[in-house]
Amino acid sequence: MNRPAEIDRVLEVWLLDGPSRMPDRLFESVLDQVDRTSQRRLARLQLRFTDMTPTIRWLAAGAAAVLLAAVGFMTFGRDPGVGPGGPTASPSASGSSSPAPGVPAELRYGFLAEFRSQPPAPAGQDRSILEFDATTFTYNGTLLTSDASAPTADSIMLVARPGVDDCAGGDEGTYTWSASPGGAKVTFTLVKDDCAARAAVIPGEWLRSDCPDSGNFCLGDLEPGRYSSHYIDPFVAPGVDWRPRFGAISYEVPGGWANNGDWPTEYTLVPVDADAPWTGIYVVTDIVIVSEEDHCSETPDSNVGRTADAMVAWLADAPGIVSTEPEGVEIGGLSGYALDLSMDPSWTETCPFSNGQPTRGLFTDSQPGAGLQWNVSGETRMRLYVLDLGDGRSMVVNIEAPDQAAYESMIDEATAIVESMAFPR
Amino acid sequence: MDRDLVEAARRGDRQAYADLIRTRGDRLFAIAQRILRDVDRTEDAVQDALVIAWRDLPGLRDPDRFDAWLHRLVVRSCVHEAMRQRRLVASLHVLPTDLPAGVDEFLSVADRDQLDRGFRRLDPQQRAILVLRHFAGYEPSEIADILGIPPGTARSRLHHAHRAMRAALDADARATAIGGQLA
Repeated sequence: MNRPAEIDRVLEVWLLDGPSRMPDRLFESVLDQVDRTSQRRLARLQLRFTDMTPTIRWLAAGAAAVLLAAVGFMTFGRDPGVGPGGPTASPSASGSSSPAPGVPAELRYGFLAEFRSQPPAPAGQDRSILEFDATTFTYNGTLLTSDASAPTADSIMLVARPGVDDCAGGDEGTYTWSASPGGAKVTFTLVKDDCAARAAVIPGEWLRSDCPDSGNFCLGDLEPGRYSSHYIDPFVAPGVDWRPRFGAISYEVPGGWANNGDWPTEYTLVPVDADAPWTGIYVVTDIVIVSEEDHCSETPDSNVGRTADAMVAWLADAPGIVSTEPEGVEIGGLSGYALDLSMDPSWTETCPFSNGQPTRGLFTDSQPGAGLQWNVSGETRMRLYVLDLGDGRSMVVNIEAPDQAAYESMIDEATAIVESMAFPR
Repeated sequence: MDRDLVEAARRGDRQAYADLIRTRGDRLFAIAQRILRDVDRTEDAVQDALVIAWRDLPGLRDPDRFDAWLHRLVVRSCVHEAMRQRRLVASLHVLPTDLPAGVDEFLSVADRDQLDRGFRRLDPQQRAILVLRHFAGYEPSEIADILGIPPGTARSRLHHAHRAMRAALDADARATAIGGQLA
């Protein structure tokens, strides 16, 4: 077997070997679970509700609930709960013979906020997550699990399930709530709660997580206003365990922007109506210059330091790219440089993965094997902010678009967003 | 694209969702099995992904992206399963093969064993990208769409996955040679 020459063909043949049919029992099992699982969001209802008065919203919610129950899509009062890791069967413990209307559509999301006293977040988390579905409330995963209903249009009632830590089974709590016009921010106010632990965490403002990626708790579409990240933490020192931290990045957006990724070392903001893919603002921490000898690889260049000074000096002189003169900037308490980058039209080197297109590698992740190979190719336009983290490392905020037109369509707004960023330690 | 079915399923029509996954189940199952190489974990991963897809379907903004989105959920579920699998003693299952007669003449049993060992040395992301390319037949730009990564990163990861596979095969060959000498 001549591996280097034939690896593609070898893999294709070898991968043919295996089952190609989904077992019928698996299909039936999936359908059985689907029958017992409610859908997480009723987006269409929510869109309509935002334009209604509270009274009309309440009537509409009731009517919708009756309609949905009638056609058998959702039976309020006996829906299994759906936690962040997937659906789990969890019978109602409210004991009510005539179930109150379910949680309104505006609240059937995850909601994010800073860490809130009691009960503690799971180990290693500096943030809080509330989640509602039609009939269930949970805090930080599976804590404080309660049956949820909506006795009035602007209130919710929670009844703690038996066996929940920090509440007695049957503890009742009532909260009023209000939402921003598009529902991106929700504020809960305590009316009364038998469970002190629940009362300690729910009141206050929460950011709705409406992430298009169901594997992530990013925020999704944003209304104009100021927002916080909850996952990325630029300041985690090498060798120290990362942990989610609410508010490690905050920023202000105009209308028409969305947060579509919040990961330990990456945060992404994109224009909702961008015509071209990969148009937006990309914040990446723990990043280093790629090896000069093999710029197509994920090998760091050990000769280039990780401070903003060192990285910008390299970027300003690197073959294959055209850059503007670096300007000193201070963003959100961090000092560094801003510069615009594009591909040098005379650059002809390609990478094994670039399909013959001239490409110049720029950055890779400091952790080997992280899969980051950040390059410039074609008509890509970038405005880079290389910011010192204060410990010898840097983070990069990149405004990027695949061509000049896409770049110009958002650069003014994107620049204002970046300049509004704060990075509290 | 079954746009009408996707729209109906988004509105909560379970029969529409059943129709959608009935026509896609075999392909998704086959992809998942190639990534995980374990029938029980494949079933767990596919089931989790399909139930999560139903749960989160109303949040899918563009029905035309249903297939890419569903593939992404399945691949992500496989990666999670594989990460769990790494903490367990390997529990291999002999799988029935649907391979057409004659196709496997290209590879000997020893080759297949070596490939299997090499493949299992790769991290789950690398396995996934090789399966999407060489089994599912997706172009790097389509893989980027499925995995939610920039096209350049997809091409880079594919390149490095090939390299890792070759390295894994070489490492396996060296280990086999040493084992043979010791034996």
